[in-house]
Amino acid sequence: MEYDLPVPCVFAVYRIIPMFWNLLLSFKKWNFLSANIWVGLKNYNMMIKDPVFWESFRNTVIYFAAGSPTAIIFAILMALLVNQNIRGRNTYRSIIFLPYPLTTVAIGIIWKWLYNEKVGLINYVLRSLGIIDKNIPFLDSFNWALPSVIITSIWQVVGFFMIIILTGLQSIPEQLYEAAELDGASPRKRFYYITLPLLKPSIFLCFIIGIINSFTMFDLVYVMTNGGPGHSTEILVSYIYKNAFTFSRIGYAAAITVFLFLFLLFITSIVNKFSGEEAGGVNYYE
Amino acid sequence: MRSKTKRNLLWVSAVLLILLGSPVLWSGGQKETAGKAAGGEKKISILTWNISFYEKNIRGWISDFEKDNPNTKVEWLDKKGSEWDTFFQTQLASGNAPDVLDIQGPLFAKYAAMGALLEVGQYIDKDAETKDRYNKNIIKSAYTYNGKVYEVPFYFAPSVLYYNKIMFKNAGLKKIPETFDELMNYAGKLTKEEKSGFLTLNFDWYWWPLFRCNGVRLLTPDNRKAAFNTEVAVKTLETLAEMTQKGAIAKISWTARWKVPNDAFGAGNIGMYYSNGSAYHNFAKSGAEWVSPDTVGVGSFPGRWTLPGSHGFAINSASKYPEKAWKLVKVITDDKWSEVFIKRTNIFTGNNKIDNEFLKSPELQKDQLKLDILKTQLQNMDRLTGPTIAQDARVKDAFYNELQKALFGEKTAKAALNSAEKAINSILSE
Repeated sequence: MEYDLPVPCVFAVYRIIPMFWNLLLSFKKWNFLSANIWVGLKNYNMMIKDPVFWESFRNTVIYFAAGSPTAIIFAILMALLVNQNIRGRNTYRSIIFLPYPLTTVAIGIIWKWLYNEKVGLINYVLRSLGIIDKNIPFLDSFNWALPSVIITSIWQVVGFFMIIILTGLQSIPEQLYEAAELDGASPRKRFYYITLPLLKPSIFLCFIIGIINSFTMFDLVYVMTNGGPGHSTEILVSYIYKNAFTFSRIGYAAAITVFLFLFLLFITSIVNKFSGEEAGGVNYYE
Repeated sequence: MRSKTKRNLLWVSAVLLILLGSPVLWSGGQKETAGKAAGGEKKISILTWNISFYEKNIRGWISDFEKDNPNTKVEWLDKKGSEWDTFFQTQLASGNAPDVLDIQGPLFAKYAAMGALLEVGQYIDKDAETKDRYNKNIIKSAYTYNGKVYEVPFYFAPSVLYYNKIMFKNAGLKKIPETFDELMNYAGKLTKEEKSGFLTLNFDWYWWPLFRCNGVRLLTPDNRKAAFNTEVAVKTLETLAEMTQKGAIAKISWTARWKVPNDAFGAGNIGMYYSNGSAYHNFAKSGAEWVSPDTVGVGSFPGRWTLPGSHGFAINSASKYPEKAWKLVKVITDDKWSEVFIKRTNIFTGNNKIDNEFLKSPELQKDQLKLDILKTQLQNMDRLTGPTIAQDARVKDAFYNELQKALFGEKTAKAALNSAEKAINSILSE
């Protein structure tokens, strides 16, 4: 409590001031060198009419909607498995967690080779098993590129989610299961009426991390596809980067950033509502 | 309570100090470093484009320059191609951009239009040493924007058509294609199982000669409107899409950038490879023992259309010491260092005397393939294509993404060209 002022000061320097600076830039035309010119809502008008912006937005929503829930489902299943009393379970846990500490760039490069149409391991395995008779150009296809990148991001994060869920699982009191078993509850009922409700805080935490990941997975997209082919894997952050640093359209990039910020605010408020409107709340008196 | 207020005031002061001091630390402070070194010495900096392998010689440039300019120190920075533009722009914004810049291709036009580059044409003409040093053709075609010269040549490697003589022989082909139709016909004949008939680079407009050789123009002569949306262009794109779907044109032509296409040709699976003149040194390096004058040939692309493949040195218009920056450029492009460069890389430097001497050198005469590559590049200097416009990156992005959609069957050729035309006209009208 005694050091309460420095925190808002640092927060202001690194968050609030840049945010307002960005908002200001979104009403201007600037290219790093020229004097910035006030253009009012022109950048926002351009944004609404820009088909690439809408494609990037659509892809961002797909990343978010498909990536996080799938990763959480897999994480729950794996956490349930490695929570069993099986031999070598710590080894399994470590192996599943292993991808998370790897740098995203390394993961992008590894998966790029795995997905390779001519020499990629995935095509080789699928062909060997007779599942496909013609190699799939995963990252070079308009239909496959987006799911391929999403699968990679799920692979990266699922181990981390599993650890969070596992921690949640291990904090559920054993006597609840024993009481339910005595009352004749089947394993499925025990999962739905005990495990799942008590895992809610862990799942909520995974969901929040998933949201952040989906909106900031610039590095994976940049390394694996650079937004292509066409703009089929372009997401809002990569499109912001391109506009700012490739096209030198800082004002336009700032306008898209404002949109992204408002969209994130909207998503967060919905998630907050579903979590009982206490997301991030701390009760000092408990 | 009092001590808490004191502590808070102390924190506020510290944060304000950081805030107010940061421009000095990030910009002014470094300006001091870039501008004046200790003891009244001047300091200039040079930013190169992904040539860290050349470090020993770069140190040599700097050493020679510093010998002639004892009060000026040179700082060298090198960035990979993917980082260069971002790095330079953030340095521009902080007012701390390097003095001398090695820029790839038509990117310099963006910075020239922004007013970030000095017009170096005035230096070239005024200086007796440089007046006749550089190849005037390449200066006019690749280093001039809006009639003004903004760069001097560092190196250039105009595009050529490499071909696999073994695959040609097996397909019964005896000469290289001279028209687009012949090119596509050959590509079809050369395609078998894992082998593709044709491969092109796709960055920096390398795919554009495929249209240009059919007479299609990208923009109107005043560069204000798209001019490519014609019946011929639609037909060309339809053919390219069909050949891509058949595998006669390798799909990596439209998705990979530099290493992958070079490795593919080096692996012996590509019949014809339209690429930068310097690609030979890359595909011959990738474990391709089969590459020799007997197995790899080189020739002109149909219509002799070529991309300059150029890098040039520009001077930052905000440089505190533009005269010193020019002196450094002069050292780098003088006879001594141009000779070192061409001997090390076999890439033209734009220094007339040295390039011509190298072509006649006994060591080059012994290597027929290298000689053919360089001669082919020179033959086509009058057929350089690709725009030099300020909006190059946006125009390229708008066109290429639509092109990809047509090539991969997402759109018809007509629809893709219509969308590209609309987008490019909108960009050019801003």
